[in-house]
Amino acid sequence: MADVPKREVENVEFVFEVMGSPGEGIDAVDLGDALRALNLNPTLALIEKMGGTKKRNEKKIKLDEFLPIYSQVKKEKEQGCYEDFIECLKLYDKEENGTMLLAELQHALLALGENLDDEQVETLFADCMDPEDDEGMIPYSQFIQRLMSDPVVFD
Amino acid sequence: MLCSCGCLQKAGGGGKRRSSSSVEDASSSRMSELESNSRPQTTEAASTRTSSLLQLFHRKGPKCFRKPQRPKSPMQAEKTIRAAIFIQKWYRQHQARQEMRKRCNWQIFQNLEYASEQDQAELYKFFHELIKHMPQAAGTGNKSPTSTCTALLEESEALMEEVGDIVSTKVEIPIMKSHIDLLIDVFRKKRSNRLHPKYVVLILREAAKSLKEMPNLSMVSTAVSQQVTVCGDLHGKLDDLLVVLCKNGLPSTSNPYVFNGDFVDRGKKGLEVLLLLLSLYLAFPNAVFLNRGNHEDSVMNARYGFSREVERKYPRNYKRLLRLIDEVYRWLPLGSIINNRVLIVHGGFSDNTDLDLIKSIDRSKYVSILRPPLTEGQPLDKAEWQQIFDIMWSDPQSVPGCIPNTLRGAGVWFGPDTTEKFLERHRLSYMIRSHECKPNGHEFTHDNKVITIFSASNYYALGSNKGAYIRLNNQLVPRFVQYISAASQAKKLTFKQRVGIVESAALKELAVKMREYRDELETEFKKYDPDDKGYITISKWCYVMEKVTKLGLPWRLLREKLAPGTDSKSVNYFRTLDLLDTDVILEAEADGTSVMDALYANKTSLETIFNIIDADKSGEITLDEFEKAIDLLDAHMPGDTSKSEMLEKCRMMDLNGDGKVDLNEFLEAFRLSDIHRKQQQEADIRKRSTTRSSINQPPSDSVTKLANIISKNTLIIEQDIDPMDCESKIIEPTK
Repeated sequence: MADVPKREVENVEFVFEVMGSPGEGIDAVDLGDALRALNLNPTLALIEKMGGTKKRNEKKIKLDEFLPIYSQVKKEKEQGCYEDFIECLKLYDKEENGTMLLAELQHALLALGENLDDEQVETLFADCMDPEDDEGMIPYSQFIQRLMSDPVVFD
Repeated sequence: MLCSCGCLQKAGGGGKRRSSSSVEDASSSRMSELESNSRPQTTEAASTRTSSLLQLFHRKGPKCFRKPQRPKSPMQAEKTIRAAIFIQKWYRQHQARQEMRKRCNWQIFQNLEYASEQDQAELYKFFHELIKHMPQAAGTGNKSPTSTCTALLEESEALMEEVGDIVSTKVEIPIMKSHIDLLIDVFRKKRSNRLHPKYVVLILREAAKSLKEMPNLSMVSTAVSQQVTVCGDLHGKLDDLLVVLCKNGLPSTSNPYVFNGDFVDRGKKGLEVLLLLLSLYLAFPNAVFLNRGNHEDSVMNARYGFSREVERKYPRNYKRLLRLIDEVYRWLPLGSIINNRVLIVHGGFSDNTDLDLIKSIDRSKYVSILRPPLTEGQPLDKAEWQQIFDIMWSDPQSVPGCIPNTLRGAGVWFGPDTTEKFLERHRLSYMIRSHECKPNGHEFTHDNKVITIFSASNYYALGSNKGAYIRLNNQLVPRFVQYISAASQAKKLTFKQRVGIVESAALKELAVKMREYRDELETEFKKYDPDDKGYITISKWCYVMEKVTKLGLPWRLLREKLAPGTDSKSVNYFRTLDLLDTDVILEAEADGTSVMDALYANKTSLETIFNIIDADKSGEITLDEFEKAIDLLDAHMPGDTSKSEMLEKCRMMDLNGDGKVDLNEFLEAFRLSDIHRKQQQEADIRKRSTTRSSINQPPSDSVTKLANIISKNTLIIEQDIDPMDCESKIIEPTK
């Protein structure tokens, strides 16, 4: 608790006000969203490790329990940055022209890692992706830039 | 585990669909889990993979189908997974941020709404104080004679002809279904098709006469119909009312409805909603039950737009129409009880609420709930007045207790313990109320004993919230139908764009509110900027904003919007002030009604104030009487004028110089001070624009850009209402 700056504690208080109920704190199923709203970016695995649940009404997390979780997650290093990530996508870039097949990306997001579902992928593409061209290709670096350029909620 | 195509999949629950809070619905409702399903991981992944490839195939045709490349080595595979996790992580953060923006906007709207309701309630408290300290006023406080009220219902005084288009639609008594169909057809057109004022008068008059016969609490029974439908706040949203009638059918003996108040204000078609509801009531008297809400009140209407709407639509006859509407209001029942088991009132209740008492009062005394009731020489019963307030204005709270509702300024916050005691005392199963906007149109609280139902979708802005109505079966088990009207407009937009629209609407309203304090803000900002550089720290900026506007908002979040283009270390407060001076904000301000405007517009309130100050009922106020009232005026009127200034005001009111102020001088003084205030405002704006351009730079690009975005996003394109253009969902009972 001591290592969270006062200004950030204020931000946490706001998130708790918005997402939680007074006296009880937030539902553990919202732990991930709460951390994300505070500019952190944990994976699902990390959230589960820190005490996040998958169903509502199983567990509540109070403010003073949350702050150490927040500190801890903050310390986790970002796994890979923009450049690493573009390098991975280059594997799919057969023609080496900065584009890849939309379907490949869609497949990856739906089937690999901490997969998203259809609706989430649809929303993601609607918000951040240019429409694919006639061959089904998309410029991936622009997509990533847009995804990462969301204005921060708190500063 | 490895699946047949060679890609690694995370075992277990990684693919489960997230709960509702991340997508679409800002779920402040804790109970309605709209989308909780958890299909087994592998089959879902396999089927979506197949389906996405199939989609590609179908879209492109065989010749464009290229065999997707798969990474070959295990290291490449790992890299790919890492990349996927990266995108997924960022996507989830993107969603969480949008969600937070949504909730922030919600907070803004709610805070603004309650802050202005507080102002209205101030008026009530002001009267309360006056009456308390001037006991002789209590008996004869309100001079509006009841005799002319009943005469209103009979008078057949000729109406003035209105300018502009009037439809030829005729309405006659008795009102039948055919008239209802005609009315719906007229009202739903975007061109303000108006009924001839004589039919408006007809509907209002007949409705008031009929409502007079109803008891204070309507007794509703499902014995014949086997079910009943309950609707909440409509606030002038005719499109939502038509969606409900379209989906749920017109009222009939087998399809009864209860409408739980707040039919007007804020929305643009309040008059049409009111007339349609009253016509439905007249056409199907045993199938339509109307409850009064806190907005069925001329004082509220003066502030929240309904009075202006009537004036705009019937410029020659609005005064008469508003008086008739008052008649309807005072005779609206205060609530309904279904099968003696479920209570339906607009707000809620308090520890003191006594239904037997409420059943026995003369509700017609309360022409406006915010002004003292008509008493005809009888002493005013403050406890009774409080009872009415409590059922119209209260809100549930999650913690136990029953405390005055300081957010709204009237009524109480009642806790689950209050609910339990109340329901037990009156032998009720649960209760339904409205009064609060909910993102999903409804909410359960107090262990499912209190249901909030709100039927105005897109209440704050397009896409801000859904509306809902309840269908109760014979066992009174509730089932909700949730909807959003004008769905086609929202469908064209992405999630981000929708959030953007609501955000622009929220910022616009907030900026208009901030304008009230513009000069004070400038003064306070300058205090922390002694060298006049135009920059202050973020903390100071937030501090000033909260101190001056008195709004408890997440200012840190809003900083980027309200001082656009500044970095994360300091704030250029000129940008904030410049935003307030942009055209889009000035226009919005001119469009609205300030508290002072409303007070002046509500002449009856001024008369009441006058009558109370005039302690000896001489018809004139002496300086002495006025001085007594000033102490109270000071505490409750907006704006801080000192006592000597007020006394000076009184002397100034004395236009004919006889040392006393009569009613006309009193009203005239308000009118003049109102004009003076407007002139002062305009002069200030002119002064500001000249000094700004000479000393500092013109509004920066980022301010202009933001103003343009707000302008574009809040442009509303009127269309004919199409009740079929809605998106709806049925929610099964969770109990």
